[in-house]
Amino acid sequence: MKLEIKKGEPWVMWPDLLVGNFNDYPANKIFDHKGDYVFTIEFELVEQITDKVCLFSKLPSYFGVDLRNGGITLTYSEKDKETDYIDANYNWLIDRKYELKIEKKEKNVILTIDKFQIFNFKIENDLKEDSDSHIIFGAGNFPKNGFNLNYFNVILYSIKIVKDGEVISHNDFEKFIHGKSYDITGNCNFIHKII
Amino acid sequence: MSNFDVTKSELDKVGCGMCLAKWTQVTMHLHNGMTHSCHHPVPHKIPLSEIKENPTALHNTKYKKLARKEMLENKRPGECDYCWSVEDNSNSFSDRVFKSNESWSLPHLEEIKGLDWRANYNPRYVEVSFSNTCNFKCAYCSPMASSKWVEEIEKFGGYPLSYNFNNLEWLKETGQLPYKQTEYNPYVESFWNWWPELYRDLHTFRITGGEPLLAKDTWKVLDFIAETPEPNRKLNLSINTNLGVPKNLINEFVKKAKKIIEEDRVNEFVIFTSCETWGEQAEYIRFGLNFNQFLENVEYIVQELPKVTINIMSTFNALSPFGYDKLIDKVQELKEKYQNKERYWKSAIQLDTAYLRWPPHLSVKILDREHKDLILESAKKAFYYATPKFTNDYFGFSDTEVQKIKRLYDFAISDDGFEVEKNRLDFVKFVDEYDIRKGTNFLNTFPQLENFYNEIRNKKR
Repeated sequence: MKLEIKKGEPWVMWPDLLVGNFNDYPANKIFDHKGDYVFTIEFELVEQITDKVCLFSKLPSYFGVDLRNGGITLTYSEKDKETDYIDANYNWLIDRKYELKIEKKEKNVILTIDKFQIFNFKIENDLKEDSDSHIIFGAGNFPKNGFNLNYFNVILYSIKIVKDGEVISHNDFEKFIHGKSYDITGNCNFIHKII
Repeated sequence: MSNFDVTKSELDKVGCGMCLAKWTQVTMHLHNGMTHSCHHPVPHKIPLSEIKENPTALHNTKYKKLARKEMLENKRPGECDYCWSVEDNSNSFSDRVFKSNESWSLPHLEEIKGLDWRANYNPRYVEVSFSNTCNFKCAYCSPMASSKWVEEIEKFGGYPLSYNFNNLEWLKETGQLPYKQTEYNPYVESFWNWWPELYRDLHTFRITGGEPLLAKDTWKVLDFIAETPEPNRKLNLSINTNLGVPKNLINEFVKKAKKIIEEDRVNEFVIFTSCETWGEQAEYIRFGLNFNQFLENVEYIVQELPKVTINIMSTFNALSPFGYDKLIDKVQELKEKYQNKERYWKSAIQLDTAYLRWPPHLSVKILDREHKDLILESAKKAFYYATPKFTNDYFGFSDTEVQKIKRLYDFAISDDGFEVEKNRLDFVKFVDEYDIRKGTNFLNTFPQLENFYNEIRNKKR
């Protein structure tokens, strides 16, 4: 099954927004985690990329992946440093499933697409953390903020988050409850459309 | 500074024990002549001699006035020890701050702090029980709140647990045995002497019971509000009902509520009912309940009264976990079906989950971990049903509805010195006796607890 995100209608992983402090394993804070983690997203493009679009973004301290015609950008924010980014060329095709994986191991950050390494770099400090971290899919910001939105049409097949070797969230979009994707780990790290 | 900080600071300027609820709020158990302001202090007896001269003594007893005196003189009344314990042992605000901050309290601070402690004061938030007449005898209830329980205990005596559960002797000794509805009740008479004056100032009026729809005085209140030429349009009116009374009473109630609402005679009208789980298990807990009829009545009311919200108060107990998920599904279905833009409380139905503390043999704390985990699963289900926004435009579970189920789970698994073994033994004795007296069958109704039950029974031997 799949989740079709329409241009201008992004989704968010932020269960706390609906009910505070429910989750013991809030996967929306994964990019704040000081230990190791693996974030895997399977997606498909449904139209040619012309302008920069945002696959996902973690806010408020930014960490996200943008796609552009012929390339990919990872933007990240280290503690006590300006937000930085790293670029690579990549030739995107439509109607094809991609598996993009971000792995953080100690201070190394590795991004692979379909197991091919795209980025491998070292961070000096920990990544910036926030008390209210959330991950937006299909936009670089909340629509109400009106900037850095970079919407696009995209199909998601899976989002899997592993923290220190343990799967804390896995949305395979087989099941939706009341507009929320079902997290098959039972940890309630669902995603839902932003309204 | 938060509102609560400001309120606390204003209260503390009057005195370290100041709480407006001692003036602004009252629960009057007219069926046995008890009263208290705020639910934490134990209710005290209203002396008949006081109400003879002063009907407001249903609230303004000499006992309560002495507590007010202490509050105005920078002292902490002993009966309010719940709040002092919170304040002395944590950084949290106590209920005296929350209750004083309410819209029915805070606007009266200046007036109250200038009053002599002997002065009578008309409360703004009033909860009243006219009678304990009830057609149910719920497993966790007592003779104090159910005439059916009184009948059973008069016939069979208290339940022989590790103590004499629900016996009448204690009620008799403490003067708390309820008046029968057919008897003359001087407290109810005083209420009606006070009512025209009391009504004028009310912010919230809530009728409890017994079953209020079986109390003639409930109907008198509804008639008064429906007919008075000068209605208090700011009044928030709410009524508890088991929604298990005969259909003609439900119809009559809806007719009167409709008139009150359509003529804008109140600010809001909310109905509180109760249900603890699903189907025949719910019927076992609430003896007298016809579950399907209950659901039909719920739907009938939210359909006929499009501005009304029904709040299902769920006293979650050891018999609740196995069908609670189905109840959650049903609540969500009704939320969706009857969502509109005019409900007083936004949602057509709300599920208000609270944990049962008394009687302890019915507490979820007696259960095995596998049963308690069902509570967490229910909380997760409600979480998925959470509404993205709690407005009239969306339906789903509110943050509070979900949090309360999760909190229940946290309570169930917490270790606080609860006497598990003793209460498990009492539980088995209780359901055995319950089945004999009521003709029910525990093991047929709760097959999920068969092993649990048998293990305790074997230990007992």
